[in-house]
Amino acid sequence: MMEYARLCDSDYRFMCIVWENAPVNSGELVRLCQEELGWKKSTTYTVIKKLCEKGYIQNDDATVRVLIPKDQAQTNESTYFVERTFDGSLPSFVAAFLGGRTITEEEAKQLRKMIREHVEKES
Amino acid sequence: MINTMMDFMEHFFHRNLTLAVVIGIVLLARALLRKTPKKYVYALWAIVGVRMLFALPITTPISVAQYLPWERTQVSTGETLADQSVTVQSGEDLSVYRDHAEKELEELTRQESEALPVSTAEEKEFTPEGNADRGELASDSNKPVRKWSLKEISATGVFGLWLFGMITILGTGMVSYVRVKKRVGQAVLLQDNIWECDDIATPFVLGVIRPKIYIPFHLDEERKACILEHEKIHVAHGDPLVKLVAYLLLAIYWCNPFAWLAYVCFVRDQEMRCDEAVITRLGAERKKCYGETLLSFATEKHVLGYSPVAFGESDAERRIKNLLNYKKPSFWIVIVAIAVIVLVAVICLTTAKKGKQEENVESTTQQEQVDVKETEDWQTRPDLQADLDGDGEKETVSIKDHPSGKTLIQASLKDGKEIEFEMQGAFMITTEGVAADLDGDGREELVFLQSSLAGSTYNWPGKLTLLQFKDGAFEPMSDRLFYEHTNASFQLEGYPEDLSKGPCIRAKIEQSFEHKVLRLVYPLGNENMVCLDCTYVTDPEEGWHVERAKTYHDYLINQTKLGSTRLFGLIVGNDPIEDLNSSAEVPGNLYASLPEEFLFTSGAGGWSTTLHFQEDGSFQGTYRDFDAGAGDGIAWDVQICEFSGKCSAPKKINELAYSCYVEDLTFPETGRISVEGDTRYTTAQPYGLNHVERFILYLPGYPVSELPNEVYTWLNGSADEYWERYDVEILPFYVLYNINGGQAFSSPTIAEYVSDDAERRLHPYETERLPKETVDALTTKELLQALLQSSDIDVIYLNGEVDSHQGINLFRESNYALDAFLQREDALQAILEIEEQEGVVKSLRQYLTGEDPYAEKKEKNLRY
Repeated sequence: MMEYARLCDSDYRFMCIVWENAPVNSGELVRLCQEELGWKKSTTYTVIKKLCEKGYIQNDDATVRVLIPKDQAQTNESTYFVERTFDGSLPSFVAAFLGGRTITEEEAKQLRKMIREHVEKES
Repeated sequence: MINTMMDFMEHFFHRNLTLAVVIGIVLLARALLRKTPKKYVYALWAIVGVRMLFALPITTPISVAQYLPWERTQVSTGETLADQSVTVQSGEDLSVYRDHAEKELEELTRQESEALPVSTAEEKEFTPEGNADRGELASDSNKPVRKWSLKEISATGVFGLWLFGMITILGTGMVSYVRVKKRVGQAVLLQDNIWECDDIATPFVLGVIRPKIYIPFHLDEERKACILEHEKIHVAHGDPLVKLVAYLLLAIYWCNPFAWLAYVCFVRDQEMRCDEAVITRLGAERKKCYGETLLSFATEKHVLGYSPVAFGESDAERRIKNLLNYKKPSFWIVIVAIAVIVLVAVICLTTAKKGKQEENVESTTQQEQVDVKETEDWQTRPDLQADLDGDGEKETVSIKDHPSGKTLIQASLKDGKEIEFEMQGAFMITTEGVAADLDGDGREELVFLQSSLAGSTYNWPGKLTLLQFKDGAFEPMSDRLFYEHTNASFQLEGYPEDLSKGPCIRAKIEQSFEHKVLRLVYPLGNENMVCLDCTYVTDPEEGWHVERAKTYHDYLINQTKLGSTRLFGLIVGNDPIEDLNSSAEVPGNLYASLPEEFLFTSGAGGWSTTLHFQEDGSFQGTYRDFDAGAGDGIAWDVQICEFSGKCSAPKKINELAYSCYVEDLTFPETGRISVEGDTRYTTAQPYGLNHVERFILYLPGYPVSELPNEVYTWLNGSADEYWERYDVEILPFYVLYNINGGQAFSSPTIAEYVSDDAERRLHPYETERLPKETVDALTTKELLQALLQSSDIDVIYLNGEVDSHQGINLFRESNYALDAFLQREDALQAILEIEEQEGVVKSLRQYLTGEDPYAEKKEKNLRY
């Protein structure tokens, strides 16, 4: 697995905008960031550069393209989190997450579906 | 510049002391109000902040300044000091200034007297360079150079240190701001001015103009609400700006530990007040939640909390405690708190009363009742006697200075009435007062000179006040401030400084040895004129100006242009204004009683200056300096100056000393060369009259120990045998002393030197005293021995005449013994018989044989 570069919150918020609008002209991106995040132009460009270096996006000809899609990023993040906090144990994670909560029927159905799919993949 | 800086530091130091006291009081009050809502305590800090900047111009009896000795003055700092109205602000400790000023004045006087060019025989100040045809005297390049005293050096060091500290603190603040700003660069706007930011431990407010609130991401709603409320209230109160101001004040007063204490307490109080406001807003039931929020953000890092533009959360424990105790205050608590604040404000912000009992104090020119309690602070000046009301009898005028800058003039009139006048003057002391009828109305006016405490070196103004007695009270005729233009003169306010533009009055203050004199410079057209004891006239518009001053018209024109570095002062005592044209006011005529000739010489070096007085005070003289020629047909190079001048009416210093002013000194253009035979004459300036302005004439009988050093040095040089041989306590002859040049003339007849008894005691053969019969009775050889034993014979060299033949010729005219000897037929033989062949003997021999006394010298081409 490649080196996972974590996203801090503001990076993440930025990436959300990118994921929603990519591929996007950098000027347009600046405008969007100004609107939704309140960022100056220079701030946006700095962050673009930073995330290019982290490998999430690429910036060619003033167009910003996504390299790591959102769901991938989410997977990376959660895997990292489970690895670090639960020693990679998914059941521990789920148990912790549930932590005395009850789940709705709908949620249970989704879970069962997921487990089934996942198990099938493995085998 | 150094002086302003030192003043500033003194001022600043006292400020700090006052602040320490004020902060102490505020802390006391704070402790008193600790159970009350923090907003009252917070208000107290406003008092400190204000006090750091200034004090209110209101006097109250409970002002803290009452108890601080350095605050009890009426000086308006930085205002125009010409403003006579009482501007009440706390001033500075004048005695500090006075000590300072006195030391400075001493220093300057000492340096000036040291800097007087005391010439030795080798020094010649005049060069035979061509100058203007009036023969301007060489400009005085001997301005005293002031080395920095230790005090000044250390003051500069301290000032630099303070500056450095201030800059460091400001710098730290700026750096801190920049760093925080960087960290929040990527913050994301939440709403309004609230931003979410990565990597911040606690929420904070940043910025003064448009403050922004920064909170961490993913705050839960509860905490978010509390925190946001808190920070919003900070912004709403304008806390960022207030904190910044406090920080700036801290940067200024950083050297004062109380300032730091105040700042820390202020920051805490600001936070707590904010906390309380939050709870008031959200309701007391939220205390627990808020407290937990605070706790959750409690950090070790207090820096952010105290930094100038950011508000971090710290002191959690203290704040939580405060919150838990906080409750809405009762009505009475509020009253008490407000009362305490007002009281503290009055105490700390106002200044001390003048000490008068009545409230309605009018400014200056009224007759005021003096607070008796203050008498011990008054410094009394010498009384003046003045006929104020013109009734022919003199009243006594007393002058008193008070450290606060007041001067009180009091007089008792004939009918028992007392009149007073109070002069205000910042940092002024009255140096002198004089009474004279200036406007010719038969009543004497009073002239007061007030100089700045700080002395002339500080370039502070002085003040000249004229009072007249009118309608039963003192009335100021004129009151002029003057500013020091150069070291030499004061420019009176209201008159143009540029002399070429028209009449202006400058007062020159002179201080020398015994005399103090007021001079006013009054220009006519483009020429300056220095007046002494001028008669003044009042002008309805201008106030007063000089009327009669023509006596010093010509001579001092050039002198004034050159400027002098001396200081002048006001005449002390009751000397009436003299008629400048009158002759000597001494019994008889002083000038007429003077000996024929005054001589200035060193006894070596081949030069001398002679001076003769006429009865009317005019004088002529010659300066001659003989040098052996350089060759090319010139045997003698002679510097020569024939001069003339006039002395003013002499003024009595005491029974045995008089002074007079020199005017109209004239001599031909210098540098002109003419050759006669083998002698080349070059015109020069009159040595001995360097920069001459005044002479002091010492009469025979004047105690030698009281003579100025320079005089003694010169006399010693020209008559050292005399001084050495006899223990001389009083002057046996006249001395004419050129003060500016430090040069002394003496009446040269040697015979007068010697007192009868001393002579007879030591030299039975002193030929002067030998009666004619005795001389005739002696053998030639005996006579020669007697002559040689007499010290008088050395006079043949004493005249400075290089040619001893001339000396002998001169001497034999007055000395019977020498004359008799030289006429003896066996004189030469007697000379050849004695063993010595040098000195006087040689000269006598050469005289008798007609030998050229300079044959040897000429051969060797030595300068004599």
